[in-house]
Amino acid sequence: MKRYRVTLPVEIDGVVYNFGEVVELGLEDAALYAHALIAVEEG
Amino acid sequence: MAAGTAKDINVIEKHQGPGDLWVITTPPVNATPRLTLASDGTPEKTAHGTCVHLGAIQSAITSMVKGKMAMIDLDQHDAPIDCYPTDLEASIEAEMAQTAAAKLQRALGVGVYSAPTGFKQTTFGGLLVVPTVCISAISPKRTAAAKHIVATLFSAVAVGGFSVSFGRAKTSTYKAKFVGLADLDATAARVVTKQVGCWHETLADASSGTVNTKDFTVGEIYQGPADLWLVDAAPADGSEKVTLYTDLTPDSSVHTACKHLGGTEGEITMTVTPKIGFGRLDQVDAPVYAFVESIEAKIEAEMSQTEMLKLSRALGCGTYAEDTTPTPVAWKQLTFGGSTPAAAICIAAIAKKRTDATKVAVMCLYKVQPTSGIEVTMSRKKASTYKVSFSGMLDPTRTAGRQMGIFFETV
Repeated sequence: MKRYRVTLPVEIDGVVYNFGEVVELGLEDAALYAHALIAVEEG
Repeated sequence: MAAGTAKDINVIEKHQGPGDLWVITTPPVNATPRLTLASDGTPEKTAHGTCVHLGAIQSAITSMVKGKMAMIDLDQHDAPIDCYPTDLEASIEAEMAQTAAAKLQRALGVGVYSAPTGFKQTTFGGLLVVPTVCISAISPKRTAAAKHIVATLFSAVAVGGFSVSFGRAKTSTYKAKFVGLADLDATAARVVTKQVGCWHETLADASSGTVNTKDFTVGEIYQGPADLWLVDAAPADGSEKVTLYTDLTPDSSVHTACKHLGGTEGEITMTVTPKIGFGRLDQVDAPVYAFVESIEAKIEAEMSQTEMLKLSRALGCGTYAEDTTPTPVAWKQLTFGGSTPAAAICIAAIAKKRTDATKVAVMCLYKVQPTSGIEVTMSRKKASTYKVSFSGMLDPTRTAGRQMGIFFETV
């Protein structure tokens, strides 16, 4: 799991995450929403 | 010894050539406002993170900066004696060619993207916060492919919305536009003279660094006809897609009273256009924040079947009746004048993908009223058609971000 900042609103598993929120995701979900996320910590 | 002054005519400085649009994950910093490029002219990954390429461009990218100059007039003089820049406007715009849910969301800004199994979708309507993003346009120089012209807006908002056009005659494209804000974020600590953006040209070849990957997906370029449907019942909040049967029409077990609206002339188009307002501070020449004033969404088509029930749906404020005698039905009629407005309906256009006829793209507005009127042409030389425009309304009982409509694709 890794923390990502939302740059465009996304709905993941029924929850809407808005611009600026931080969401913790596994790699698979992060790849699906890559265009709308920025990793909070690199690595 | 007196001499003339050399002219500066340099054809190498004439720029011509295509470019790419990028969302920059880690923007250039105040001390070095120029975007760092990798050897292939993409944003350098170590400096700027994994950046998002916005796909194929249908026509030119245009970057613009304009200062609004207020002239200072005096009554004693017949012309201004000075001027002062009151506002700064900076933008990057382009006509985009890849119609994918994620890219449409980027162009709209105020939409919600999700990727449930088998689908990708963007919904819209009801969001308040306007996302900001750093965006760059990068174009190799005409005479030196490893040198570039780069335009960057450090904090920009999407204002153009998107349109999706399903038709046989031409590909679907949409105009994306990003307007720059003054980036007053305390962490960025940008100082005056470089708060909004930076244009630069490289004079040495880009030759090192880690490249970012461009996203050219030809399958995302749409062309081909669609069918227009009245969807009844409309998709519910929480299952916001039109449920499709195996033949890629609305599933009648879920949407029990759907009606096909007949043959169309030319394309069916959905446009979603936010009106973005800007807030200002007197201390700053560029806008400092953006907000959603309104969103306009509509589906338009030119219909070809002059049948009274279809005309009634396209009018929205008439009264339909038909012969109730057992078959054959002797008449259908549409009367008008004094009718109450018809109940709002849900409209969807369903198109098979150009590159995979087992997959579809669907655009749907949950609650619309026709606003274009109807007409019948009686002519020996021209078939009668009528244009319909269904204007989207917002359903506040739905989840914010999903209150007007959806674009989704099966994958």
